[in-house]
Amino acid sequence: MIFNRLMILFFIINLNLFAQDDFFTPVSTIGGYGELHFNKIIPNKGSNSESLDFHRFVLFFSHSWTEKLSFKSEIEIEHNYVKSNQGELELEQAYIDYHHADWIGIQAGVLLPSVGLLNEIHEPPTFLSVERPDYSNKIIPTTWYGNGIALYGNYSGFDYKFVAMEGLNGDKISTSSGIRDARQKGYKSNAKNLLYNFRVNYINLTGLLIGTSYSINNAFSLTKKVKVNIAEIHSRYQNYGFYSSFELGKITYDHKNLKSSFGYYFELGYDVFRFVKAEGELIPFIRFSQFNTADKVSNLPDEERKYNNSQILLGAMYKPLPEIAVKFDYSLSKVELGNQKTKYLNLGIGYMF
Amino acid sequence: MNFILLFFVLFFQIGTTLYDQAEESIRKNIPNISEIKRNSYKIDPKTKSEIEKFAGQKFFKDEVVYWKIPTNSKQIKYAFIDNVYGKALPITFLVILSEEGKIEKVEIIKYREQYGSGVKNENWLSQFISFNSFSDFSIGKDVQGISGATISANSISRGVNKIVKLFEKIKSEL
Repeated sequence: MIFNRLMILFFIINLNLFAQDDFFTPVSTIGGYGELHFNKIIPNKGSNSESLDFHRFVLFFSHSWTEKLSFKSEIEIEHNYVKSNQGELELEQAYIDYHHADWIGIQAGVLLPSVGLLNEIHEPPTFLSVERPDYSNKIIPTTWYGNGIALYGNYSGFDYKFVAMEGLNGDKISTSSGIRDARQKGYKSNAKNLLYNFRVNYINLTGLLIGTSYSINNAFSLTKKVKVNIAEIHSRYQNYGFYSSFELGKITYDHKNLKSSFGYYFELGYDVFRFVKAEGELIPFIRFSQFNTADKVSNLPDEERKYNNSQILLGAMYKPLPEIAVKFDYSLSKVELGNQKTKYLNLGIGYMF
Repeated sequence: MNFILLFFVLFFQIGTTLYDQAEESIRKNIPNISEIKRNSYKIDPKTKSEIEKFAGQKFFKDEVVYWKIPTNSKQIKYAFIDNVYGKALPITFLVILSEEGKIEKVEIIKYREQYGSGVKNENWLSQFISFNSFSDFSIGKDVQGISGATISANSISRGVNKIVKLFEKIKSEL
């Protein structure tokens, strides 16, 4: 009797896993994005530098066996060409996804922790500046990926994700780069101390995304483990021609010198083509940022001022189509120590499909 | 054990097809209708190609499934169910149209991915109400975008545009 019922149970689960309908056929899809940049750096002392860089070329490949079971991946070439210590070839995503229902799904493989606005969604037409905001480089080191598993879902407008993945390398945490160099990037990663990340967004107000995440890790080290806590809030509003983002994050460390990193930015743009009923979008914008990878440091007093950056950036993004962006921005950055000022001029073109 | 079986049957929602869900939505949105019949329409290659070029998106299949719905007020309404691709997987949606081809409802019947589920938001979908084949479906103009769901929002908007254009061309044959 029990055997029969177990067989029925197995049949039900199996039926569901492999259920197909007229609206799904197993399929492989490709997509991708890329961005070419021109960067000019104008320091207040010393000579200017200019570069042309195909910064990112990303191919997205997926296959779905059933409408619940699929594989997704992203391979990226950074800076066009890979040579020792130049350019990068990275497997940024490669996971099996079981999407059981809207409220629960599970992923396992190389995946992205859900921290901030840009770590998971960073196709060039989805953010305003030529380069990603410095906050998304110095404080939240996008693209941050690693080996692990994730649970995700969406319920009543709340979109959530929990990730357990490889931890950080505590020996590579530094005042100059915070956790950026401590990412293991899935390379034979040390699995002793997993990182746990939880994020929740509210998405049911038209045009607004608002959310927060918290991550915790006892970063492994040859000497003493480093306890790392990452707390951040983020929001984006995109409605009636306005385009606005705000992010703020703080990382605390139980490290011999570094105690915290902190940063934020706020940006506001408006699609001026709405005035003239022109095709596409032209969004001039302004961004204010402040970030300091060495926000609180013990025993090295100059470091706090050396990495304390403030920045004002003016720019514009033109999108002839939602998938193509031509961008321009000009910024002034100031480092507190020595009152060093640097101007940056960037031009870029990006796409996604 | 019976409870466990019942739990699994409910949990895995056995026996409900997307057509059933669509018909349930039609009945909810158009009250007091009697039996409705599902039909399919094979799109001729020329019409298909014209609409695809206009909307910037391919049809999922050569045919679309629709319901012709007589109502108490003698008006006939139409409902179409179709698919568009999100980032990797199809999104199944329903469009209810008046006899004149005006949108009365857009609903996501099934969403299958982690990212971009903001397109299920009823407030966002309600932007399409009263749109017809002459409306501007460009994201960022009369249709607002969705933070964190750029690809899905573009796909749905183009998919709905395709349906209203198609209806305009084929309504006399339905």
